[in-house]
Amino acid sequence: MSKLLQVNHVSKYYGMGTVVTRALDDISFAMDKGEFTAIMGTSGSGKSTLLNVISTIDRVSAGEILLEGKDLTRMKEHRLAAFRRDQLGFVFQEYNLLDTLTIRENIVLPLNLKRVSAKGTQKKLEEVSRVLGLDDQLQKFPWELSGGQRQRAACARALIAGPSLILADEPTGALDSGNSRILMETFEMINERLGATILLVTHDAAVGAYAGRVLFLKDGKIFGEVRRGSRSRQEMYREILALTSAQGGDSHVG
Amino acid sequence: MLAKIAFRNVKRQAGNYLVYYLTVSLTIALIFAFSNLVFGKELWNHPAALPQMRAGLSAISMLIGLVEAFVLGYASSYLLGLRKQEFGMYLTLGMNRRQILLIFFCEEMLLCAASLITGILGGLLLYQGLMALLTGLMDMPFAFSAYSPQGLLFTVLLVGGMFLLSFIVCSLYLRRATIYRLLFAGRRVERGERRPLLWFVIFLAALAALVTACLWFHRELESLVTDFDTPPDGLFGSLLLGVVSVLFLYMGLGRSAAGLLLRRPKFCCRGTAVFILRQLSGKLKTNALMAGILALLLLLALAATDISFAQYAYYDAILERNFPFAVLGTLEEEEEPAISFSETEQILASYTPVTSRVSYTLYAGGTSALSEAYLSGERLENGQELQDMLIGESELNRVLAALGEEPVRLDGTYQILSSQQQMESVEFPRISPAWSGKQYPFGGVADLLISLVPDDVMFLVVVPDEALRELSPAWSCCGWQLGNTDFDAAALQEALINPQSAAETGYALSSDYQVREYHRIQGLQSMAVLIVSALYMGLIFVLLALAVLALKTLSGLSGDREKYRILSKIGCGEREQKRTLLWQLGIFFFFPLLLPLLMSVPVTWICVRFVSLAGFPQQAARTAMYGTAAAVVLAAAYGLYFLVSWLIAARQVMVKQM
Repeated sequence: MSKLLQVNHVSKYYGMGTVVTRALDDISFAMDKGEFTAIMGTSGSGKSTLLNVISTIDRVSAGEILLEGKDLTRMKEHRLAAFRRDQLGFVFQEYNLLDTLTIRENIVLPLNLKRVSAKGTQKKLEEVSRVLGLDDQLQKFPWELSGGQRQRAACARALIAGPSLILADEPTGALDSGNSRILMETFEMINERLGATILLVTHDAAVGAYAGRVLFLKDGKIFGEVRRGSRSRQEMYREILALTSAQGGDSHVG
Repeated sequence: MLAKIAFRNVKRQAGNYLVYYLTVSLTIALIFAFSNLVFGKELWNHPAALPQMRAGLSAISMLIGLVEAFVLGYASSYLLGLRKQEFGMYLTLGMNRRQILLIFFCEEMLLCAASLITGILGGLLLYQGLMALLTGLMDMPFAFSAYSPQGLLFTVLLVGGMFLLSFIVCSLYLRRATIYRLLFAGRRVERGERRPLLWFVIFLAALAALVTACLWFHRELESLVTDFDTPPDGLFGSLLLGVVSVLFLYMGLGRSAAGLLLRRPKFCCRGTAVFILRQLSGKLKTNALMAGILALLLLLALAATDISFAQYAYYDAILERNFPFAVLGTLEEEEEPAISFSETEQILASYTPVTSRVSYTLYAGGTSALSEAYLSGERLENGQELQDMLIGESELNRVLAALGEEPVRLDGTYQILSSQQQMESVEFPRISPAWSGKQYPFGGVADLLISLVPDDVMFLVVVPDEALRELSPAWSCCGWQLGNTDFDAAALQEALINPQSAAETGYALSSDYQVREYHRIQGLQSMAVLIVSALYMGLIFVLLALAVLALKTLSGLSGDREKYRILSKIGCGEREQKRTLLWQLGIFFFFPLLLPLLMSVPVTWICVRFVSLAGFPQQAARTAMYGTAAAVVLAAAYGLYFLVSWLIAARQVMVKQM
């Protein structure tokens, strides 16, 4: 498989003078196309910062990030907006659906920004809503849905433009265990059936067990990696717990 | 400590408070300037200033005070809206409500004091500007006008009272609102209209009603100008229909436009179009009635300006018609004149050179049929003695030649000569009176509109010379033209007083002579006060509308920041965000202006038509120019206020790219 994402010696510092916080410290890794990768770590480990720099919401202090061969760290601001629109899909912890728009309008908004025709938009919407089981929810507003349904709608929005990479920041953070399970099965399904490349950030071992690969962050550095291979999810879960326990056992267990 | 918190809050949120502060300062400046006008001595020392005017202006200042109280109240509720969450947070941290109210009171007083200072300073300048405009309209030299202590006291008391009242209202809310409501009030989402098609039908019906009202108004106005007997009921009815249709028009459009556009897939898939429509849908639905009221206020402001200037142009023109001579003397034959024509000429020469003089005689017709026809119905007073006044054709033509006017041709008929346009509507044609033993048919109302008669005479009957054979003279008249207008017209008019007439009528300046320049200044001065009041009220209505719109726009921004952050994350660039915000704010802001701008065309046209119908087509262009200028000034003021609001909004809402 070709490398879709390459993060090379990326560092991120905050502050000036004597008070400098090192959020990311010389991180390097790569992702293949179609991979489902989770980044795990405790609060303050730098996982959200890593997601922010990859998603171009924040800038790196050092290093480079290549997506499909394009260096994101050197792109101008106006091109970054287009890049986010065309190449990336986001799923946030707080859904971040627009309350004033219907579910349908929220989902197709990335296509509207790309000026896709009404016919093309409708076709893609039908595909995505069928896959994610949202056919009956399209005319409703976000406040009329459950947390799990809203997060599935957010997934649909992330997916509809056919992005190269889907980024998810604590997607189950606001969900109960039942809805968390449903959402992660959804991620699993879109990764296996649609070949979506997913990079997910979580502090929950149960969530991380759904990924094909888990990177562990501590104090801004990658300190470990687990690949699922042919193992079951339960085995993967135990492996994750073992690794976090070896590092002090203060990882949050879902 | 609480005062410290209040002071820090005001300092920290200076950007948010800017529009509030500007609005309140402007409000105070307007009140202060107008109070000085009402309570100051400059205006009321002039002879043209009637006591009724002061009462009228005082009433207007109270109305202005009420309008400004509404603005202040609205501004205070905006301020409270900004602070709700913060106050809720203070309560969760353990502060009690009394302390919260004290903080809010301190903040309000800080802002009140600051606004009062800047408002009064602004008012000082505004008052001088107002006096400059007034003296200009009154045709008097401008001089620095002294300020009135009563005006200052009135302003401080009124503004202080308004702040206190708005604080009391806000504090009632703060006492009762639950912490939950304070913390989460901003999260309420306004829903769009569910039946946009129905409201679109209502919009179309309201539009048709508005067009009907305009046509009806025009017809009634035309009737009123040309026919004495037209009652004003139709005019009021058309205005009422117009007001109601404007309100329903805005309600219909506000509740239908966004909803109908959302049903068009091709429109919705363009960029952030659907986001903008959804943002507007709930807001326009909730504020449709308010937008209609603001549109009416703006329309009133435009109409007041147009009508004021039309009146000014009309008055200027009608003066020539009512006073064709610089000085006109009319002496009854039966009475001994207080001042003879020769004495008058000597008096005139002492003021200014006399360039020409023409004399003529009016005859008592011995009939009253024509006067009775003119004074039919309500205009006829009991016991009123009527007498038709006649003038010979050749004598009239001699007078007209002296005035540079075309002669009249009777061809054996009689004609009516008057300065009033409505003469055409009087039923003269059926009457064929007889003078000196011969009947004469009606030959129409003379094309010329001119007044050559004393105050007691309503109109002149122009007859062939032979009709006067057996009639007796009733009035001797003499008209003078003067070399220039640069003389003391009031002193001249006073020099020509008829003491006996003054004693009988109780009017100190009662005279057999009318000095045109004196009447011109008197009329202008009276009119100037009314025009300035109308313009001032128009200005206040415009500022009120703009202030309410700006505050409403800015009060909804806290929720918008989060939405624009989401847009940024899903790939909406900074330029597109700016464009989106511009459309979102611009449509809401300019929505009330839509109809007034469109209506400025028919309103100006009606004013032009009024001036033309009154017999002054040459003044119509000037009226149209004033009307256009008023619309342009309104649009410019609107644009300026929007620009300030937009800049503040962009700073608050826009997510800067990293």
